Amino acid sequence: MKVIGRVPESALSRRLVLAGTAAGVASLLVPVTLVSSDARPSQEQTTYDITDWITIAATGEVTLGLSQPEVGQGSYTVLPQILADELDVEWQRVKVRFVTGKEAYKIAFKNEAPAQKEGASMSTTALYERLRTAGAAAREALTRAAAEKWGIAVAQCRTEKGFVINAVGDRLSYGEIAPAAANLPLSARPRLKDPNQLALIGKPTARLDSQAKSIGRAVFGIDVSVPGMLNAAIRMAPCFTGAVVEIRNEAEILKRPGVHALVRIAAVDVANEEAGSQHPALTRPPRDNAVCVVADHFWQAKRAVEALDVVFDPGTGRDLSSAKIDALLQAALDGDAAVPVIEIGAPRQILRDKAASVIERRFVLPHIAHAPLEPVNATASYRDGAIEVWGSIQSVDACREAVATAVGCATDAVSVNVTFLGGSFGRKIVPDYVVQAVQASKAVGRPVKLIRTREEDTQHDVFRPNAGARIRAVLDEAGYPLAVHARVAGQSLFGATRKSWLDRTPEGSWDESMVDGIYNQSYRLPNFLVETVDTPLPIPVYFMRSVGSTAAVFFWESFISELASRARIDQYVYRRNLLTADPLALRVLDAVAQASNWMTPSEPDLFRGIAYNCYIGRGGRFKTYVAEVVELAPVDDKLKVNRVFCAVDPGLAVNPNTLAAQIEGGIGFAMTTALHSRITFSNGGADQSNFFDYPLLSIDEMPEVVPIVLPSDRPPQGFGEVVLAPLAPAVAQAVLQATGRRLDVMPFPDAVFRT
Amino acid sequence: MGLINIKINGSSRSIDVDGDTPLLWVLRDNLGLTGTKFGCGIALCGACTVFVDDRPLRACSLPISALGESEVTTIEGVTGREAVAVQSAWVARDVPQCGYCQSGQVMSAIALLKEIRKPTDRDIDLALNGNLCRCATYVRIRAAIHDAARALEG
Amino acid sequence: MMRAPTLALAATALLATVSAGAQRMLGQTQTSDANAKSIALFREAGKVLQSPRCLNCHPGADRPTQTDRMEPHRPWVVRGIDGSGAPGLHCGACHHAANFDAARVPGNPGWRLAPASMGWQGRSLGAICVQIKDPARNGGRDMTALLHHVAQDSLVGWAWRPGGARTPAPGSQATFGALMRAWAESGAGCPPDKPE
Repeated sequence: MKVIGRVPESALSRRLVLAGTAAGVASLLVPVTLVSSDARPSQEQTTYDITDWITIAATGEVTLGLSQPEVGQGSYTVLPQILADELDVEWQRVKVRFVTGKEAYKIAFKNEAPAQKEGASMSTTALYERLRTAGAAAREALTRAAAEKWGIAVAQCRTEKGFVINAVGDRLSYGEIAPAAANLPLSARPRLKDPNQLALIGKPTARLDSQAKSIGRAVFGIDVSVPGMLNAAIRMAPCFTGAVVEIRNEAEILKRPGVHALVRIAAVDVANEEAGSQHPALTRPPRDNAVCVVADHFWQAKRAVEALDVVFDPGTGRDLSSAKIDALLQAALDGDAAVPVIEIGAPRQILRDKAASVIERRFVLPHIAHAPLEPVNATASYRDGAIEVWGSIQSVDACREAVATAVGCATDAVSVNVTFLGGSFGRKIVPDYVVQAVQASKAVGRPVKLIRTREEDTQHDVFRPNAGARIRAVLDEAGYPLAVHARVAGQSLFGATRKSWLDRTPEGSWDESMVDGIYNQSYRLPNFLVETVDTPLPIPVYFMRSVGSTAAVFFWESFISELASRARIDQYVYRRNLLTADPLALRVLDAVAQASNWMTPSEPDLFRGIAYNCYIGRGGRFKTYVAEVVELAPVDDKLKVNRVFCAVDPGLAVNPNTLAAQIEGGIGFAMTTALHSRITFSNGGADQSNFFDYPLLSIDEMPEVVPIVLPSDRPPQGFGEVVLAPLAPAVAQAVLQATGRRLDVMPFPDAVFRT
Repeated sequence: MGLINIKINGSSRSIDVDGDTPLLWVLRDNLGLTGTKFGCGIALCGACTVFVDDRPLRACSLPISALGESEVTTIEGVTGREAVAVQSAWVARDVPQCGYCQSGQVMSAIALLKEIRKPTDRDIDLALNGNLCRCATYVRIRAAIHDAARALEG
Repeated sequence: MMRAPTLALAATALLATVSAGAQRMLGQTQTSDANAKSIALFREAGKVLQSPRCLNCHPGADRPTQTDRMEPHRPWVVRGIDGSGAPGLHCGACHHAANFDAARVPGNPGWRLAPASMGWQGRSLGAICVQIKDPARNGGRDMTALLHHVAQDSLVGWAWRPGGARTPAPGSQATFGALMRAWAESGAGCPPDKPE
């Protein structure tokens, strides 16, 4: 696609050649991070804040505020793009700076107080109007200021890429009139551009951070360096309920070169968003559950903490094991403790009456770990009861509150500087690692950067919960579902982290994330019962990209595949006939079928699967329609996913370039989960620790991706998570077609796939 | 601990560090060169890829005492036709998402193109499968390598 | 985890049964009793040859295996032209002159895969025996050179100093070298080519 804002290759080449010699491309960096070898962006020039989001220097340099951490989804580009379009500035010249501390930067996912945080695929949806308004209001103020200066009517002025121009061709740069504009009141309802006036919104626009990230100049949390900083490594009790009992060689370790201190770290109560949600065994009794060594350099700290002779007491969770977890799950699927979520028609009656023709499938999915490539880390400086934090932090407010609670100070005393995040997928919203860094800093009286090794990051992740399902149905004479009963069990995410998000009924509470994509889907089902069962566990869990739909949609779409297969009806036709009441669903389904030539019989050695999901944003904030077709082909004696077609209706695609990247990356992420991801437990803790036993997808396993983005009049819908869920059931369906084998667990067995 | 001299990005540096310290942490902590990243510490993710005597190497796998007279090139100092072609292609395709793995990806891609001027998809698989990307930017990595190969041809 | 077969006692006993100084050339007929003893010596040596430490880098296929469980090497590396890997991902990218336990990566100055002609995985001990004696497949070595290789080569010796949590090959390079010499001197008999 032709991309706007692409620096010509010749200029880029020259710039890259010079990069090593010059001070670097500081203008692309989130400038709060301080790496001693980089020049800081110039702070001498006078700047004017025109809105909460736009700062214009006297020189005309425009800095756009970014409130949403850049985790890879492209917020660093897409959100400033919205501002820049309405503001009407030269895109290649804008700078971006992370901003915090104002109400304007806060959003709410569901019933909760607004907070500054990224997640839930919400950034663009929640901020689109706000940013367009801010950009337009700023442009209006600048225009008015110029008009006043010229003594003419506003109507005789127009703007063009950072200049206000009047009817006779006089020009005033934004820089020149910024001081005056900053004093003018802002219009609350400025005139937004007409769709045909948009220069950037809806156009594939170059990412602002690609260059820095391609030459090693982007600063992530782990790269932070502040004056006086020490480095720390941590070793946590392997069991989640564990405690430090004794350190036997403390004196010896303290003598090691570079070692400053050994700090016992208190267990962090990480239900930061809602106190009291966590499983009680995780937070009670209050205890030290980790040891931390602070040293001059990280390697010294790491070796020292490994050499510590520490005795941990495992605590009440010591018997936790995967066998026990699975047994609990199966008991929940078979027992009678289920809470009904929805009940339409008379499913129980029909399934009883037609017991002989019930089709049933059972599924089990494990806990999985986020495994961002940058392991969690934070730099904290505790001084005189005030705390400053730097790092890869996905929720500014969750971090401030957790730190304030842990330290016993006001949230105002906590300031947070956000860097680029080296991946998060939900992990870095939970600030347990930040609080640990704060504890270390407090103990030594200096700033401390605490980095978890990959082992500590994996074993002390906040996991995506496990889930299992039992789904039963009988078909009508035409082969379509007459009655369906779906029960999902597992460790409830909301129950463990956000109890206020549970839906409460007379029969009990239920967690919508567990059935997200089942209870709220639009297949035509005349008789339908959905139930959930919570199996609480002393395992730290949290939201992970695509949350419960990664399980629920696997269950649901796999079951629909089962029914279509039993009815001997084509998988696309089957779904199509069930979705006739939902035209937007049909649109993506038809588009993917067309793009993949679904109705043409495939070659003998090509096996295909199709799946559909409408991803509904938290609180019903958006609806993004997705349909995928996967193609499998045999390689040696196994099957390889060669190609994935992905049709989406995302509403307005603010940046089709970054949207396509999210399609490609989201499918790859889902491939990892389908083929590789599993955390097992024994003796109360996680078994896996690094990429040899928790592998990630590698480039040779990545299929070709064909994105199909359907045009839409709807406003921007959420996107970061939406393409994940349909991938696995589509692959399972193709495997069913190829081998007759049903896949009811993830990760899919090695034996079936090429690794 | 002891004074060790190393040649890095065309300069000589002298650092006081334990000989068992991996090159990765010498680069990051002692020399402030944070472009080379830590992802796993056991040579499985490739985020720490540098060149030693112009050959790709996982900096987490080499104790600094084993470096000797060899010359280290990091992402901050890599130059040459292949580097310019790869980094230009990386930007033109907007390869990075979170970007954390990309220093390693770029270094491995440069190394591949130095050895094979026109790599096939299989050559790319074999050269880059040790560079993990959690964001799965693999589609664009592959395309950018092919772009860079074409640019080097012309 | 497999119990490492003990080499020392059995080897000592067997070595003692072979008459000292008895030189048997390859191909000479032997009494069935002497042949049986020769084969028994090779079976002892086979505990080294077929240990994971050796087999991991003697795959028949293109890709080495790793760990005691002999799983496919991660990342996916291949033999390449000279055993040192494909362009862009040579063995030397991660494996260096010595084991580096802090990174859990083994090392040796000669680190590379054995050529395909020396692929032993999936083959019977008898087949390996014939392979190992065949100059067309063993790197052009006559018996003297072969014995020197197994007793003195540094990369072979790595099998007994593998570092980390890797189970060393049974015995020592010295006992292995002595076993192989005794086997050669006893006629270099090979077990039958069938699964043991």
